[in-house]
Amino acid sequence: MCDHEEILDNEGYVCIKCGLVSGQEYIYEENSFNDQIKINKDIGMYSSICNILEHLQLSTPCYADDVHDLIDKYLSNLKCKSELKIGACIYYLISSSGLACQLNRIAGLVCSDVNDSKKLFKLIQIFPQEHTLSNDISTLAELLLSYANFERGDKCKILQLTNTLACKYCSYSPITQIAGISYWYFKVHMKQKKSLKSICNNFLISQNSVHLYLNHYCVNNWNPI
Amino acid sequence: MSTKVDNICGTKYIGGNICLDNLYDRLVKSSSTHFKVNYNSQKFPGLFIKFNGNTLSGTLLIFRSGKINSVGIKRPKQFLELDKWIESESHYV
Repeated sequence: MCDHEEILDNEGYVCIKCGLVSGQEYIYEENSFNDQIKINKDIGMYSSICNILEHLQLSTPCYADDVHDLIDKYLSNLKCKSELKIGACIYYLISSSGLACQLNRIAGLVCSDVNDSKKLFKLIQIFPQEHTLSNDISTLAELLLSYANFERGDKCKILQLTNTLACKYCSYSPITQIAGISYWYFKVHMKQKKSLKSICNNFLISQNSVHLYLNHYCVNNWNPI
Repeated sequence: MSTKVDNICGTKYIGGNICLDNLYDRLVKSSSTHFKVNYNSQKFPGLFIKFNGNTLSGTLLIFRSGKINSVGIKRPKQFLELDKWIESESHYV
């Protein structure tokens, strides 16, 4: 800290040690005080938002304020865990920004049990209806493969296969289909030993649905490239 | 003791597959105030259309296979009105 020695200049009093103009110091201190009030308003909630955003590898400066505003606007009157509200807002925010989002990835961070997952899904339904890319299998595949620890070439091939092999009228979840296609790619196309468990762990889903999907009739028609 | 009809359920098959992504987009774009649409294929494979009771009441669950379930209807007349609505919309899917 500088113990200012001020002299009168054209712009006002200026410190000869650090060059600070006294008026600026006043303005700066006022702004920082306002920021502090804003943060102190709900510092616990704000830090939770930042924490969850960081875990999801999302930019905190970009999303934190928006998430906070969305909670105030739509979910402030609801009595449930603040983490669930944050998760629902992040899902809505990303989806409405034209990006795909995996619900399981958010649920894994904010939900402690199945009931919490159900509550999270109900909270998401409160937001206005918009076109969402989270149902679009190719966009979702890009997102999921970016998290997966596959090689770059494999990721591109799986993405291509997803676009051609995914069944439009299949009732299986898009994530199940992507995991099934990935497993089939490594097993049949690449003749590599990659366990279904490791693939499912990458996509944060259970093996059961993928196993059922791989026995589905539409998978029988797939041919190696 | 008394017994009354509380919840009427119905099923319908439109005779072909339904692309739920297109249907969802179309219903959302229509911005109708009569119903609320909900579709999240990561969570449930069906599309929900929940009518608010002003013109129609009940909930429709629409699946890709072409099967439609209607639930939450209180009177047979409401069921018939909902069926008419499905008939009028089915040529779009």
